[in-house]
Amino acid sequence: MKIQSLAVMFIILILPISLVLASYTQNRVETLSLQSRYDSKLNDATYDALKAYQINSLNSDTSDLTNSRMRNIKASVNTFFNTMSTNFSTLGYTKETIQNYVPALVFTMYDGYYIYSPYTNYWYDENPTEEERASIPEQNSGTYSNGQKLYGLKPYVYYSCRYTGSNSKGSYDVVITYSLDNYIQIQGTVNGGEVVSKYGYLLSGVKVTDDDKVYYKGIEINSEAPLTETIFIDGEERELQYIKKNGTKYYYDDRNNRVISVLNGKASTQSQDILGEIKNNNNAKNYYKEAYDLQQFIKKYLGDLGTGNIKDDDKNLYYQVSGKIFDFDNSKGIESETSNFNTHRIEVIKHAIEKNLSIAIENFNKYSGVTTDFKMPKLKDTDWDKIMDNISIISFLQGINIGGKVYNGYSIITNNKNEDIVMEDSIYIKTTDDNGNSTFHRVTESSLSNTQIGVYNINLERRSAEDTNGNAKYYFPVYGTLSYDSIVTQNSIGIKSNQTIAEYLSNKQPLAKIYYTALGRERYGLYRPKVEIDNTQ
Amino acid sequence: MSDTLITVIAIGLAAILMFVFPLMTMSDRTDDVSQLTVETATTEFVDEIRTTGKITPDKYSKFIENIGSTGNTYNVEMEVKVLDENPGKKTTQTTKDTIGENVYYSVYTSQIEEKLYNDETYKLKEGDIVSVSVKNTNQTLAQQLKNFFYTVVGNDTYTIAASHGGIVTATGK
Repeated sequence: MKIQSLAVMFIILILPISLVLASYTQNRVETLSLQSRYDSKLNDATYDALKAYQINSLNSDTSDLTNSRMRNIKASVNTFFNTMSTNFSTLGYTKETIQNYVPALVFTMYDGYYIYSPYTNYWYDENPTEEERASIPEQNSGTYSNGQKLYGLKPYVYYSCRYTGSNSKGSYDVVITYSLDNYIQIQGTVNGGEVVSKYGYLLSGVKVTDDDKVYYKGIEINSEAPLTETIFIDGEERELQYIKKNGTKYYYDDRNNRVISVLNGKASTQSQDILGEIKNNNNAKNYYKEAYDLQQFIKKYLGDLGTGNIKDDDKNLYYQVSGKIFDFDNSKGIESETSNFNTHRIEVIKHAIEKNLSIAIENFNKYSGVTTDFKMPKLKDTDWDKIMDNISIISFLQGINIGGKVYNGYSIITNNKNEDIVMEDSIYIKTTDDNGNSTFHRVTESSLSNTQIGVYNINLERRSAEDTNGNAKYYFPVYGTLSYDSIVTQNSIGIKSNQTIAEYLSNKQPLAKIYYTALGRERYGLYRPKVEIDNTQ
Repeated sequence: MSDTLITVIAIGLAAILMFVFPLMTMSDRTDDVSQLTVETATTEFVDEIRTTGKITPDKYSKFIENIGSTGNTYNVEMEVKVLDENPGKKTTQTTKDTIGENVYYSVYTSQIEEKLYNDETYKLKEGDIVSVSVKNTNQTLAQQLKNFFYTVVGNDTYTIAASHGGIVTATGK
């Protein structure tokens, strides 16, 4: 009858519609869920790469040197691709296939960055002359042929900016290289042609008196008693006094009355003059003195440097700080986050990374076999905060097909433990109880008492060494328990969320003196390559 | 007489077909979309905790709002396994074969929420493990309609669930 036939027609209409709708919704669900899963996998792979770099560099004595660092980075990149191909193995992707989807990997270091991306290997320039062609022997058996696509590290790019101008002291043309904290390098000519090369940290509130007393924020900084640490020499574990100079630790071997440095478990004798420095550790005092000298230099020659002096065509787009860049007289000090110097430093670093990275990712279109338009995504402010915080890896993954869309994502993972930089929260405070056990706390833990000395947190990490039989052993350079209140969990932290560490310490003695001394001592001992200018010619 | 009976049955059949059947289909789709929303929100929430190292009350309430916007009520369970490296240090200078001495102790939802409700951030450090799982507690429309035909009973019945976890890669400050 009428109604049954109507019902049958209704079913015939509705059933296909609902089936199509169901499969469409399933498809959308699948796409979006794949996207968030890929985000997770990218995070995991980047974290693995970072961990590999961390472990390699902490366990090597030569990790400061550029060759060693580049090797560590290449190992880290290898780890990244290994983890990626494991995570995506169900889709049949191998390492070579994944490389087509990763336009660039950025390793941001202390004063510059590396980009790992493909490039073309050329033996000579575009239109070589006959001589040039003849000068390269015919390489039928060469490792890499002319015009071959290779993956590798591009040259190191510094976070630097060039300034020109003139003031009452003459004209100047300098390049200032910035870093992740307030260390700068100034190279160029000032005073109408005098060549200079200056290094140091920018600090406000440093005072050096004529009788060689150093004050920072009103607190006197003294030289320290010898620091001791455990080290393996020739297979034997010893506890020796040491000083760290330019990244190398010099130990006093009291058994043989010599000063040594240790490379891969073997001791080599160094100059006996260093013994005086070990016994009377002046690193902290020298740190503040160097900052004072740099402040005097800048006030004399570059005092009114501003963004108008930058030598760059697009400077108004990227550099927007107004006023003096080196504002030592800022009410919170030049080290604070809101000072002109800090804002400008972040602008320089951002511009340096973004410019080269967008070029590298654009160029990737030439190399990848995948037909996607690769573009650099816009990094958010929270991302830049993470990058500025410490050494980090930025990874990009673009072009993989997920259902209806093409995946385009990135991941930023920051390294907390490395020997390149001493951040404000890398200094732990040691306290000892009545039984002689040491505990280490964050400086911001509430109600600290019996504070002894400040320690760099890398020295608490486990290191490996070999004993006399050639067995691998583990040891801790500095041994103690990590506080359960501030390090294992952050339960009793006294600092408020809008306070800086300087404000927190402003009325806490002797904690402030211990902290600032340790910070100065550790920062002064780091490896920093320096160019010495001989002006006597 | 039998004519009227057939008419009544026919009208009943028509009602079921015209109203209940599309309604069931649509509410199934709604459930699918809710499932996707909850899964995405959970994954994003956990990944953000892993990369920043802290759980802020702001992010947590946004997460609850997000999953609540699907129209259902959910039960959120969070677990943080805090890494304690001190036991691994107590055995001094051991051979390289000893691994796995570090201890993880767990902190659960109510302890974390206590801190969050005081408007403080819960900070984690690198090496901790965090996991979040969400299950729905009400009966969705699709479930209610299906109950006409068959009933699913039990304490732990849920139709929408998501969970995600991982290792924390940054220390919160």
